Amino acid sequence: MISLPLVSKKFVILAGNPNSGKSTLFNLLTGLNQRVGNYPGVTVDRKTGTMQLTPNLEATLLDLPGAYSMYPTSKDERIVISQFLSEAQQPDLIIYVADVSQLEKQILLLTQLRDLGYPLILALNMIDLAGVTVKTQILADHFQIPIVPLSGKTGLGITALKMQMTGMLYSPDKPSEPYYKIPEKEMRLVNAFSDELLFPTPYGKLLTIQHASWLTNLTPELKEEIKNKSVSEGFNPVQAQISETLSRYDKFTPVIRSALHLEEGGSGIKITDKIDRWVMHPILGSIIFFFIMLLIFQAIFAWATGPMDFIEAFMSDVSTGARTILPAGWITDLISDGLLAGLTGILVFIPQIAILFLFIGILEEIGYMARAVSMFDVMMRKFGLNGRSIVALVSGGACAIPAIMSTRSISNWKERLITIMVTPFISCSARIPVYAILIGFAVPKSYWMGLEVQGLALMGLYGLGIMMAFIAAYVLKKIIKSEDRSFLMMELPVYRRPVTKNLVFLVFEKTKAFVLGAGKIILIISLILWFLASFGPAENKTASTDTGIHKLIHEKPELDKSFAGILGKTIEPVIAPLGFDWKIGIALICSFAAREVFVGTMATIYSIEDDSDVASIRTHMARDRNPETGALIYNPATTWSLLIFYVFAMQCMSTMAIVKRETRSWKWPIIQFIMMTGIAYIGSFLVYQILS
Amino acid sequence: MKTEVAILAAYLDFIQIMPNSGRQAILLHPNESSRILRFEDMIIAGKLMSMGILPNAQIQLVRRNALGHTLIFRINNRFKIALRRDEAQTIIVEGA
Repeated sequence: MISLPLVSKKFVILAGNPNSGKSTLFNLLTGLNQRVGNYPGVTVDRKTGTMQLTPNLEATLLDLPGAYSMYPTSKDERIVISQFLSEAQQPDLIIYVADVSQLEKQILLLTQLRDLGYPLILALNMIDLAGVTVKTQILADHFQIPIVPLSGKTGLGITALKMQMTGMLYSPDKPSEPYYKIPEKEMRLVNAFSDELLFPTPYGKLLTIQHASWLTNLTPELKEEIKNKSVSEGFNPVQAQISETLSRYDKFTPVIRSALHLEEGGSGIKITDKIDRWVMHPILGSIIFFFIMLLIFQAIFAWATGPMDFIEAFMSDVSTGARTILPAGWITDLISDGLLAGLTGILVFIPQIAILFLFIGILEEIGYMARAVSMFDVMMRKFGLNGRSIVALVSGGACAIPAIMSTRSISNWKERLITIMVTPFISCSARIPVYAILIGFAVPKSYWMGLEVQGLALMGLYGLGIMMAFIAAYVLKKIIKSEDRSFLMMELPVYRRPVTKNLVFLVFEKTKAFVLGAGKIILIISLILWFLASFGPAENKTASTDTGIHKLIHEKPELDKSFAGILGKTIEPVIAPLGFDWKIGIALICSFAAREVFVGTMATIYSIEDDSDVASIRTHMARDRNPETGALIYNPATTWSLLIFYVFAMQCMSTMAIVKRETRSWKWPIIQFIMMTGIAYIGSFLVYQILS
Repeated sequence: MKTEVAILAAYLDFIQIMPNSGRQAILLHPNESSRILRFEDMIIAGKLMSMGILPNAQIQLVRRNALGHTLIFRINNRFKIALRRDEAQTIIVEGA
């Protein structure tokens, strides 16, 4: 008889400071077996992955956001502390990742985790750096934990780490003595609550007392009790944190200095200084930043066109193929004009999103983003933003959704709120297809000083969005009141070569998030649209004996008699001063769900008008004339007006949903919607009236 | 000789005790190095210390940016950090 061995599943956490190379190691250990989820109640990415250590030992790895200590200053860092202090899902093992060249300042959190009583492995990352020698035995003896030198970049030492993990998971080994001896006064406080607080170690109890005000796993009564007791005991949390930090440093600094030899100016410090002399220069640095941004947008424009054309041509072939295989009828129409058209509308964005996140990823990985943040901090603060807002604003160039999510690292509420409010003004990738289709009607294809005029017009539209973002931020700064403190305190890491694997994962993850997140909405809207455009009220078909949908299927109405046409015509009086007709009206209505639907709408509108559906949407639009006057619909005045509308208007349901989640009320997304769409209407009105 | 040592010791004590000794880190010249004596803001101190910036650490001003509103410091010759002017003002370094 064969008995299957029981597979035991363990939970392992990867922890460490920012810039410790934690994510690289995570990607290396889990490979493609990754899942991105959310922390309960918040939307910070919760990255987990699985790895097989032995045939009957499987580990689930959690990649925590980087943190400096158990005393958080931002919401991101609070997640880390909550994870360690909660009784639910306690890790079986923690792998603490530290950059060996910055060991002295990355070890504080390790000693704190050690005092929480978790089994630990110290992974000394970047051991392949030149100019670093480390005596691991000294460290192992001192901290009483296993140490594995490794390189996340080359994969050196990974086998040793896996063996060490297996060993630790089979027979967990914890240091007997706590690293930090809690002083009398704090200990009295800990003892007072030793029964109420479930965390096993005294240090865990002390931290729970320190963070009681915001921890979610405590009852309000207990929080109140802790607060009162802390006051009566004369407990000063900041003072306690400082003396704890100092005493920990006092203990480990001499040990690390004896174990570690760092060559002066080694491990990239010299090169970093040389690069920074240019990149951080007050004037030159700004020029370099602007140049990098220009390069990125030119690259998106140049490189994405090929794959996009391919996707469109391919999907068009699939659509034609479907029509030849399937019998004619409404189901075929649904598949070809509704489903496949909608799917094309999603897939066509992938090249742009992938290219943009590739660049953002590279800038982040090499360490440039931190420089950009510090350089723009002062300027940003004038507009009520934070140096960190630059990351959100730049990411907003791809999609406002991840950009708004990235504002979590801004610990000041007001600065964060303003960043969230103005980020959607930055032209996102969903606007690119709209711009790309329309720019041709506004500006002829020509060159000016060797540059494509259409490309310059595109840049102008981006500039307009950026400008409005700052104006709105300045106004909001004056309106919103807040007393929170804001910090910069940005570490400028040593420049490093980007790790290809990390970039691949980032691009894959972001594209997936878009396809699964926004894609669903686009597909649903496309289907609704197909229905609205394919069917109309059956008032004059009373002679037919058929009922319900069958009646409508056989007699496809003209577009202007369909539900969509009626809807577009209803809003025509409101949008006529902007130079828009009812077809644009349909597109605008649909765009309020998501801008990218514009192209899909146009596809649906025109592929339904004449069934050929092979020629591109653009040719159809260019041919479209006003049935009464015979004038071209997409003349420069209307096109510019429409472009301006798309630059400013809030036309993304997904963004509004994210803003609601991030601000925890409908108040801000509603204000945002009114503000943005109001500005769009006024802007388009002025442009049309001036140009026509 | 004995009195000289006593005077020196008294002077060292004076520096340690005297709250006004030292100067703000923003007063360093570019490339000038000094040593951190203390922090004047507890919350900033807590943050700086968890990032590895402690009393007695060597601190060097690398450059001033944005008309002196952002300062880049090198700590212990190992890493660089960007601080706002008002953050750097709370760091008191050796020297008059």
